[in-house]
Amino acid sequence: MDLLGFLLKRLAATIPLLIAISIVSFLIIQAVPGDYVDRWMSATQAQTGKSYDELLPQATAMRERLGLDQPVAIQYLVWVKDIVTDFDFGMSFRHNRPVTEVIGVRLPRTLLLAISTVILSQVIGVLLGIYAATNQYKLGDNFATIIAFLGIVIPKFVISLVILYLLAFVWHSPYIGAVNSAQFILQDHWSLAKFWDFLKHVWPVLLVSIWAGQAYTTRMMRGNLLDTLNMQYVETARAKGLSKRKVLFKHAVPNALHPVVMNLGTRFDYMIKGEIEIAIVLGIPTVGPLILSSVADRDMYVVAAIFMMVAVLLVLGNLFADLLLALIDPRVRRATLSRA
Amino acid sequence: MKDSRKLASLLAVGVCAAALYAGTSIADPMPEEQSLAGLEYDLIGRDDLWTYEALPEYHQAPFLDALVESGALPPVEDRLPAEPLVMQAGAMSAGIGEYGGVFRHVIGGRPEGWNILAGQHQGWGGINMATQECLVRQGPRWQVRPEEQTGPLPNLAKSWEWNDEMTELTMHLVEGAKWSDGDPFDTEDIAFWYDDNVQNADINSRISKDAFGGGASLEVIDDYTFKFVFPTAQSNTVVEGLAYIQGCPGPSHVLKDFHPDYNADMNYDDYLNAMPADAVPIPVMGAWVPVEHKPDELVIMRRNPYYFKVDSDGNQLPYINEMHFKLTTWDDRTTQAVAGTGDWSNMENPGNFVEALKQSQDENSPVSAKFGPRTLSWRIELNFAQNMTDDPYEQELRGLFRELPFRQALSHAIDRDAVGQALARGPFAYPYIGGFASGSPYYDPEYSVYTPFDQDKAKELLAGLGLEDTDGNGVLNMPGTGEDLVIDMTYKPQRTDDRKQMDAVTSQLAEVGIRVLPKTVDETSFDPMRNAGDFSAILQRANFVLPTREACGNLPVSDICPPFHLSGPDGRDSLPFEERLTAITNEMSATDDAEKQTELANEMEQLLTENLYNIGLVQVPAALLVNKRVQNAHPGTPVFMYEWAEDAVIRERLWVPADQQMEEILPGTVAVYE
Repeated sequence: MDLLGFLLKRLAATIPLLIAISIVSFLIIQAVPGDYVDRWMSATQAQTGKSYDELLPQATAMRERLGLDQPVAIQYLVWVKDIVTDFDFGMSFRHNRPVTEVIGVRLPRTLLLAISTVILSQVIGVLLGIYAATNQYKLGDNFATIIAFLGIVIPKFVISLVILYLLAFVWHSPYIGAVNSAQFILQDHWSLAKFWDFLKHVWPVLLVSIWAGQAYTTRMMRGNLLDTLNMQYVETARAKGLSKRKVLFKHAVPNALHPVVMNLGTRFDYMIKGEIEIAIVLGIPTVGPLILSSVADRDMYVVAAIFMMVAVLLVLGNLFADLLLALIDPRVRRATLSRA
Repeated sequence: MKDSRKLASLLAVGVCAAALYAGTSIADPMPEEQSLAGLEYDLIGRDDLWTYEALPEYHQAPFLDALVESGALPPVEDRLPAEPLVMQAGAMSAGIGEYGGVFRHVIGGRPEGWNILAGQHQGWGGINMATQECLVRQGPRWQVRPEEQTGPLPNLAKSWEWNDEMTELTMHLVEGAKWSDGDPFDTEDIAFWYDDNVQNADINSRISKDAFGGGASLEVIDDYTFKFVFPTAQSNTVVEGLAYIQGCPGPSHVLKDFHPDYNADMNYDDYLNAMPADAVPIPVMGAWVPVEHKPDELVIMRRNPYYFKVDSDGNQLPYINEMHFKLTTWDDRTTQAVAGTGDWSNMENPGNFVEALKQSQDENSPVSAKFGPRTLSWRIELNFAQNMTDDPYEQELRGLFRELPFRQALSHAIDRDAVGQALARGPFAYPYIGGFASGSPYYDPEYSVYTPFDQDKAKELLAGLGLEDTDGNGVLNMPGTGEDLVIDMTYKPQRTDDRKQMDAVTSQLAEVGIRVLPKTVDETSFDPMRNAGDFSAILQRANFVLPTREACGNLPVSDICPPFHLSGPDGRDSLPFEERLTAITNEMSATDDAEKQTELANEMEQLLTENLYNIGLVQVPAALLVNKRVQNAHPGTPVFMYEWAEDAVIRERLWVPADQQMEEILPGTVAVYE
């Protein structure tokens, strides 16, 4: 069986998984007491002074209109049917707009940040790991180790808070709480000036998530490479008189990369989750803070759609890692294909 | 005021006598309060704020001259009513303003749509108030002298009168006011609002059909006069129900086309979404018109060239040309205000006060923190509905809650100064004893009966109720069931301020032998649980500022009010003073005599505090963070009193000196309607 067949089979296997995930994500939202209408009622009571009893008929009508009076199973089936037939993920109650639009506004910039974060953190992690392993116990290794450990142990929201404090209260930076300055938000097209303005707003998100993201990779790469460098085939390569650089990059590094690549599969959901706390603290409108506010507001279709998105990314990420591994390692390729 | 003080001393004597009789000293005076409300300011008369009159000449924002010359707009005098609403310069803390500039809001809300008649909101945080004008106005009343507190301030309705039986309320609109697209604002809009929206059960309007004067009907008299006819006699307080956000008409000339009664092709969902959030501009009566909406990012508004208000020099308001609402988070609002990237924030979290104050006192800080009166108060609500539980333990516990000495013991056991310091170090917190928050216009310390920190007294009172620690575990045992006295106290753990107070109260009550078991409930589940009376005790922030506005949360005014004492199937097992509280509330609603209302409020304060209807903890002021370049943000403006501060501060008269104005994003433009 060829690679395409393997790919198709793997993709088909994800369908039951996605159905299971969709059921679980729908049930999780339903498990929490209260729904969006409860939330609407308390907000309206607070705003208008209307009593609970006065609002009850309107709340009932609202539940009916939003389909919240239906049994959970029916709500779920309608939701799935609309997704399959119309790619309609339902309405966001809070935003009064389709979920696809609410997430759609935030998704491109989230992906832009997330993909840059994953790529940069992995590249930096791998390079730092190589540097640390080849300079074991020297100053550079200790420095890389300290940076990596700080990235692991300091929670991201703490680093974000420190940056926010500096930005807002010490530097009085005008670049907080958005992805663009007001004058660029109205521009529909991207320009160099708008991109530069974007970078000025989002660098803290990139900085913190790259820092936190590279740490694990650095440690893993360092350990793997040290192991690999002691392997017999590396010794052999050295004995053959190959240059130090060639030994390292041709023989040792590709073999030390396996676990890093395998781990990459689990990094895909980090693309969405990795920036949540940072974006919340810094007020950057990506998908991350939307998850939190939607859960708080019981905006169930938004939450369910995001859960699904994260799940799909995770599935795709693992698939991607498998493929990548097969590509870099002929042994894996042969084993995978014969299994498939 | 002198009379009220006399009455106070008489009452105080009465209270002392009662206290002596009861063997307790409950008439301690409240400790002296330190105000943080910045500059001193004078309260003024209603007419000092604004009047309606024709002025000899009118002026407009300079950029509008070009639009008038090109014929895009009629001249300013033709756009204004014959007698516009005139904001008096004497009431402006920084006087007549300069035109131009930008005002930046940061909000956590998102616009649902612009159909206010169908109950859609625009995201709160002042965005609704920028576009909506209502028949009457409440916010600026905080600045009005007590003797002129004769009801709401006029706005779109410039005057109103009652017939002798108080069954007919005739209101007069400002003549010649226009929507921002130039369409006349008249009784057609009023009739559409009331008859086709409020009275229509399929539409979720902001005012309830039956609650407004028990089902009033509307009669249109002419273009600018209409009449509400009520089935039973009413009081002037029903007019308060016509302020933001209840009595704010929408543009009938746009909405009628989408209303099922006028267009058979439409249904109610079409009507609800007749003015979607993205479809701007829309016609408004407010000072600014939304012209751009980038979902999740920004709403931009430009000045309404037809706005019906001027200053006393004849300058058409608002002064500020452009209004931004950055759509981020509520937390971000304060951060951006302190950083200087937002111009305004209501600061309500005492945990931030010290840092915000420190920041704003720095000479280079872009923001000034204006502390208002103390209107934020925290308290413990005890469930008195003994007849609504079958559980023997809960019944005995609620029985104890119903005993005045038990409530006094709780109050004596709480060290409010310590609770306040746990909340925010410094002079922010002041003891709260239940009743009106000290920033309320109805608060008078003479009528507040204080039960100060006194552990010995608390223990004595508890012993008097037969509570003793029979099993030696440090917790008192109840005389009936013999169980440990453990109070489940519900609170919202997300609120840091509530959590800090819960910690303090738990340890303080433990010292007199009462065990508190803090119980966390998330915000969404909290209200349904509270409204159902499904709790033993609650610790929460509940701001009681005006006796008629928050009546249900605080007073026994109907079967479902207050939540801590619901009526059971056989009615309410009322405490002796509760019936009088109900009567006072009704008497207050029935009169618009300011003096009489004050008298009744004083009696209410006395009843609430001497009976400890709630166990008050502490009260703090809220602060308004306003960028220093913004003028006319009156010192002392409360973050919330008659209405939220965005209304109370009168934004249409805020201004920024020309040399400090920010560049506008859409200079020289106004909303263009297709």
